[in-house]
This record gives sequence, structure tokens and C-alpha cells, in this order.
Amino acid sequence: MLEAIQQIASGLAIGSVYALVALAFSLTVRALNQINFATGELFMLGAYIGIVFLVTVGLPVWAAVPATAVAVSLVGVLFEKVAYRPLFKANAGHPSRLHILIICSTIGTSIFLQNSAMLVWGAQALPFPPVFSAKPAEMFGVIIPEEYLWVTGVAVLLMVALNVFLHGTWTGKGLRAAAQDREAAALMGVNLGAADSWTFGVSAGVGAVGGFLIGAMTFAYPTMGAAFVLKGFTAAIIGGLGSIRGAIVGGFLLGLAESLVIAFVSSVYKDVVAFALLLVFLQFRPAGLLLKPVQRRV
Amino acid sequence: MIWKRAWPWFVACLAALAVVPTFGANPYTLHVLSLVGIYAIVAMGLNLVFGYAGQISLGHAAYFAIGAYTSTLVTMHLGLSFVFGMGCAILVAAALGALVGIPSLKLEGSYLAMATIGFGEIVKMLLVNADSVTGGPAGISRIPPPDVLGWVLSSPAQRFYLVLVVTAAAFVLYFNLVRSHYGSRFVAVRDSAKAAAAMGIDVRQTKIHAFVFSTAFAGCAGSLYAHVNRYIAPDAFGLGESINFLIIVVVGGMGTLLGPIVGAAIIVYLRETLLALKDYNMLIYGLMLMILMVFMSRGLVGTAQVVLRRWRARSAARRELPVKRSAEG
Amino acid sequence: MLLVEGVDKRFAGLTAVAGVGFAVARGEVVSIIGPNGAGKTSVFNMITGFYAADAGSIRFQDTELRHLAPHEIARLGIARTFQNLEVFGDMSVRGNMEVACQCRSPVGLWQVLGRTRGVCRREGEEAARIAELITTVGLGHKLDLQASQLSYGEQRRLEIARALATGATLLLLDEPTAGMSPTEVEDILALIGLLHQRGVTIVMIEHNMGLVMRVSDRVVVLDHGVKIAEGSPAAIQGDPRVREAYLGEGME
Ligand SMILES: Nc1ncnc2c1ncn2[C@@H]1O[C@H](COP(=O)(O)OP(=O)(O)O)[C@@H](O)[C@H]1O
Ligand SMILES: [Mg+2]
Repeated sequence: MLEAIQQIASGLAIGSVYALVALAFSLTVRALNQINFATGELFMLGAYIGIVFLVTVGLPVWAAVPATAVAVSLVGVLFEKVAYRPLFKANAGHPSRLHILIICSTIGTSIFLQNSAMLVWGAQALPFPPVFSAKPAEMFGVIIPEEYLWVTGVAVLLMVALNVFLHGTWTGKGLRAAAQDREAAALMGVNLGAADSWTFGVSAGVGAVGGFLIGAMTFAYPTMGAAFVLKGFTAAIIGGLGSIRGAIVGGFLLGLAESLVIAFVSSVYKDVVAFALLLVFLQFRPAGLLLKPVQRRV
Repeated sequence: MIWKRAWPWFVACLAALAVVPTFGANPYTLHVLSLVGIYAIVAMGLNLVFGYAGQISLGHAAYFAIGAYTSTLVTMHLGLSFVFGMGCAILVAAALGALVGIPSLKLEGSYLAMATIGFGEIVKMLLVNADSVTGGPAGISRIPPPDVLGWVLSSPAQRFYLVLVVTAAAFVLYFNLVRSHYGSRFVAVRDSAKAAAAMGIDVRQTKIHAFVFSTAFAGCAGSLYAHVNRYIAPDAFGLGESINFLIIVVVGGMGTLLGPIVGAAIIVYLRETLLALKDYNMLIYGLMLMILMVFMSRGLVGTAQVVLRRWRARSAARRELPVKRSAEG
Repeated sequence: MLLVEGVDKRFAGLTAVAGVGFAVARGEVVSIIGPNGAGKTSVFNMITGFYAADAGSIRFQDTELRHLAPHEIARLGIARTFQNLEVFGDMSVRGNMEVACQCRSPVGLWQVLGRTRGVCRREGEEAARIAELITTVGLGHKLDLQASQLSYGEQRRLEIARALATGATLLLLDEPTAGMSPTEVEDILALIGLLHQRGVTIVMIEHNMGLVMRVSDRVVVLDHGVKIAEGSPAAIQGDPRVREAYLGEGME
């Protein structure tokens, strides 16, 4: 029983990271109906840049997390400007074609970033400096590694911050307006180009914090994005791709589901859970738990 | 009717390729040319799905793998001939394509991309883990060379001819399909599913046909690959390879007739030459894909077509101009 | 030929169409008019299977259409155009027509792969038919252009030609003259007259009252999803309810 509770705590910690990756996916889908296949690599950059800020620059943790988020956001914006914006412009009238081009282009970005990281930091895993104390904390009579609490805490804090940003600031409100109806938002004076850049930037920043947190618990390695991208996508699908609340709910549910499988079945099947859930949801409820399936307009 | 203009070119290209071995090309060149043919077969099928029908698949390496392993196992364990092995490879790949395609093709865009990635990863996991059958991560080596009607094709030149014949046959089927009136329906489904349905096209069935056709092609190519390369391992059949197939189609030109062949030639060539830049080759790949999307999203063949069309229009205008002037004067 | 009885369509609380019914006889030209949002397009979408009707029945030559898919309905011989253009933009004009030609009797995949003599002969016949139809709508010289390069009016005419190429006996036109210049409207008028002579049955949604009055045998008026009047063009013109519906909305 105690072990199960421990597993649940680890499930929540991992789940909060899945939720961040799912948020990164959902932000671009919500705004532009496009998936950024490089989301995993921006996540991976979060871990490496985190090491750079912690070790090379020597920042304390509380400063390194936001610094990482901002740095990777800028990378996200850069790619939006040089690689995706021209596609949007050139293929405005052909949504299906644009979709395929964006998928290819973001896959290109992902290959590029992954191999750049391999060249810069090597193919081996890079250890993080000790960030969160691994000292076990006792809660309700159960012993839980303190880092689980830290990871969950930081992730939840970021989700709250994102919510405040989207609902409480002018920029955030503009983003939400543009996500709902681009033409109407443009008429209301929202700068769509800037909104798209913000979307890609925020998405990259959120994913990067996820990478930082996972890196802090384990290591940074070039293919870590590929390992998490399918999990994050599955989480987004479970909740409802394009929904903010859905991403968070989906992330925690997937983390919990995995930890329960480890606790009660076997850790061998941990990764199968995500695949199976992905395929089941795609087949039977592609709109996810929180979104309503809609009738298409003809 | 569609062959009237095409067949002289087709025969001329085949003839030109057929004399390559007699001009003393070395075994390495012949092997590389064989790979071009093999990848061109996969790319022709994928082009139908991706370029024409507009459905993305990031799992085609799985069908390529299924073709390769099926053919290998049938020839090595059952002792049957290569031709039979290839037949099995095509059938198994097509059957799995139908099994996956029927439920998945109701999904669109990114959802479909992810579902196909998921399937690809599952197949790769199976190849790695079912080591009693597949040889696990180490794969299977010393696969017998292909044999046709009891004749063992042991030299690279003979295998090159085999690939040439199979690629040509595949091209004929592909050509018949995409250049017929029937073939227009694939693009119709991509351009406007609504209007296509209003024209009596069963949109789902059309997508499934394209998908199964392409998995059959991938299976056929996989079988050739196994017996030409004579060694297969799961590493060659991952997501990277699926992306590679996609890049071939994109570089050649999605939805163009010759795109897959041009793309296969270029990518296989690049892959062989970039091998020297070992660590940088994937980096260059990724960068190339991004740059291509921005500057040449129609691919080489598509861009060439556009340029040619413009040039023709301009020269036609130039021819008309004097006539008009004289009419005015 | 077509019998629509008491069809309803609701969208999450909004009743778009309520208990609409009308009949169309072979060879007739029937117009459906009504203010924007009256539910006209929704009726077309139910007839052609794009929306499932929530109640009622739709029969075409004694076949119930309500549970058929759009492509099955098209194969029975009902073709339509769309209010918002839906040409296959990346294809040539010819390609657009080729798609439609195989609507009612598709050739088999295997024959196509093997390119049998039958397939060649059929494609020859289809090419001739395409040339004939596309000339009828006045696009004969544009067969090899990409459809997206055509002007707006030309795309609308291409949609009509494409619908005809399916070999349909019932043609549903959704605002065929929307956004057209007066001369283009005249072309459409002539085209409809020609089709009428050839015995094609036409149901058309149209806002241009001049056109409606000149070509229609009968007019059906919808407002807020309900049929408020039906009759000859002259009778409709004099109907006070119709006036009210239109004036209330401030239409043309
Ligand atoms: N797919 C849909 N989802 C929700 N509402 C719809 C949908 N299609 C039509 N409607 C609504 O149904 C009503 C009738 O629409 P429509 O049939 O297009 O009217 P008309 O063609 O007469 O202008 C409108 O209020 C419209 O907003
Ligand atoms: Mg309408």
C-alpha cells in the first residue's frame, strides 16, 4: 500500500511534466491548428540550457528555471519566424497543403535540433548538478523523495502562471481572441503575426521547463525529446488536443496510469500504456475527454 | 492514350539503365543504383498516399520492415523461392496496411501522423523483442541472394537487373493508376473531401485504397532490400527511415509523377556521400527539409514543372504578340 | 422525382430546419428562397447526405435517402454545387471533370492498374463528354488551366459543369449567381434554360429575384427554418408573408 502511494507520488510528478509537454502541443494546436513536431526537441533543449545556466553561468535554481524558459522561448520564436511563418504566408489558401508542409518543416526542425544537441553536448547523457535535494520527505507517514514534490510544485506553479498570463494580461487575452477567431481578433486590433510568435514562444518555454524538471531528476540526453513527445501528445489527446485544461488533466491521468501499471502489473509495460491509450483514444474518442465532438460545417 | 507519349521515354530510360552494368560500373555503383530503385518503389506508393491523396504516414518503415522480414523468413525457414517470398511480403504488408488503415484513416493530419508513428514504433518493438524469430536487435544476416525460376542472382549486376525489372513493373502500375481518370479521385479527396463525396467518391475507401496500395509497394521493396542487402536489422526500420521516405517524396515533389524516382536518386546519393560527414549528415538533412519547405515546397520535379509552364506561357505570348500588332495595324 | 417530407435539423439548441417538405417533379425548375440563415443550405445538405436529418423523410425516385452517405446519394443521380466554392483547386479543369465522370459507374481498381482495353475506351468517351460539357458552360479554351487560376464566375460554372458530368438527373445549385456581375448572371440564366431544355431537373437556392422569377416553375420560401409559402413565381411575389419575411430582414 505504501509502495502504491509512493508510486502515485511519482506518477503525479511525471504526470505534471507530461502535462507541460501536452500544454506545449495544445497551445499551437489551439491557436493555429498545427502540431509542432519539434516540441520534444524544445523540451530537450530545456534540459541542456538548464545545465548551461546552472553550471556554466552559475545561476541559482530559482533564476535558472525562468532563464531557461525565456532562452528556449526565443529559439521557438526564431523557428516560427524563419521556418513556419513563410509557409503560412505562401499557403494561406490551401489549408491541407499547409498542414503537410508544417508537419514536414517541424520534423526537419526536430531532426536539426536533436543532431545539433548531439554535436554540441555529445551523444552521452549529461548529468545535472544536484538541484532538488534527493532527501526523502515524510508526508502522511509515507516517505516520498523530495524532488517529486519540487517537480510537481514547479509544474503547477507554471500552469497557474500560464493561466494568469492568458486570462489576466492584454497579450494573453489577445492570444485567446486570436485562437478563437483570427479574423475577428484582427478586426479588434490583435496583431496576428505577433500573436503567432508569442504562441510558439510560450509553447516552447512551457515545454522547456518540462525538460528542465525531467533533466533535474535524471539527465539530459539528445533523444530525450523523442522519448517524451509521444507521451506528451498522448496526454494532450486524452484531455482533448487544443484544450488547456485538457492538457493538464491528460498529463496527470497518464502519469497516474503509468505509475499504477508499474505498481500493480510490471514496469515492463509502462511504455505500452501510453501507446495503447494513444491508439484507443485516437480510434474511439479523438476529441478527448474534455472537448465535445462537433459536426463539421458544410 | 496516356502511354502514347510516355512509352518512348520509358523504353529509352530502361534501355539506358540496362547498359549500365556492361559499361563496367563497379559493384558498389550497382548496389547504390539498386537501392535507388528500391527506395523509388516505396516512394511511388507513399507519393500516392501523401502527395496525391494528402494523407500523411510516418510509419511506412514498418511495412518496409514487414516486407523484408516476411520475405527473409519465408525463404530462409520455409526454404521457398524468392519470388514466392516477395509475393508473401506484398500480401502481408498489404493486409497489415488494410488492418491499420481502415480504422486509422478516419483521422486527419497530425492525428494520423501520430497514429502511424505509434504503429511504426510497435512494429519496431516487436522486431527487437521477438528475437527468436527476428534475431532481435542484431537482425538477420546471410540472407540468400534472390533466385528467379531456379536461377540464383549472385552478382550485383544480376541483382541490379532484378531491381530494374521490378521497379519498372511497379512504375507501370503506378503510372496506370495516377494518370488514369480514376487516379484523379486521389487528388480530389485531398483538395475537397466534400466536393469529392458529392461526386460519388467514397472518400474513406479511396484513402484506404491509396494506403493499401502504398503498403503493398513498401512490402515489395522491403523484400528486394532484404535479398539485395542480404542483412536486415531493426535499426534500419525506425521512425528515422519513415521520415527518410517522406523526405524522398518531398524532395522529388509531392504529387508529381516522377518525383519519387528523382527524390530516391538524390537522397540515396546524398546519403552515400554525406556518410563521409558522419556526424553532420542528419543535421544537414533536417536543415534541408526546413529550407525545402520554405523555398521549394513543390520539390524538384514540381518546381521544374512550374518553371517550364511559365516559360512556355511566355514564349507563347511572344509568338502571339506580333500577330496582334499586325491585326491592330 | 424528389419528395421531402417534414425534415428537421437541430444544431445544439438551434433549430435550423423544422418540418420542411416539398416535392419536385421531373423536368421542373424549383427555387428555394429565403433570408440568410433561413436553413436553405441545410436542406440541401440533408438531401445530399452531408447532414443527417433529425426527423422526416427524403425520397428520390422511391429510394429513401435519409440513411445514405453523400457518395451513395450522388451515385443515385443527385449532384450539387456548393455555396462556398469547392472546386478541386490543385487540379486542372479537365481533372475536375474526370473525377465527376466516373460518379455513376466507377471502373474497377484492377482494370485501372492493368489498363485494360475497356478502361482506354471509357476514357476516350469521357474525354469527348468532358469537351462537350465544358464548352456548354463556356470554358472550352481553359481545359488545361489549373482550376484555382479561374475567375470566381468561371469556378462557379466549372462546378456546374462538374455536377452535370456526374450524369445526374437532379441538380441542386446553391446560390449559383452569388457574387457575379450582371453579364455573368445572364450566362447562368442561359445555362439554366439550356439544361432545362435537356430535361435536367433543377432545384436552386437563389437570392437574385429577377433570375428566380424568370426561370422557376415553382418557388419555395423558407424563413427561420420553416416553409412559409410555396407556389408559382407570380403568386409568391404577391404573398404578403414573403414580403414581410424579406422586408423584416431588409433583403434586396
Ligand atoms: N454545421 C452547423 N453547425 C451549427 N449551426 C449550423 C451548421 N450549419 C448551419 N447552421 C445554422 O443553421 C442555420 C441555417 O443555416 P443555412 O442552412 O446555412 O442557412 P441559409 O443557407 O438559408 O443561409 C444558421 O443559423 C446556421 O448558423
Ligand atoms: Mg446558404
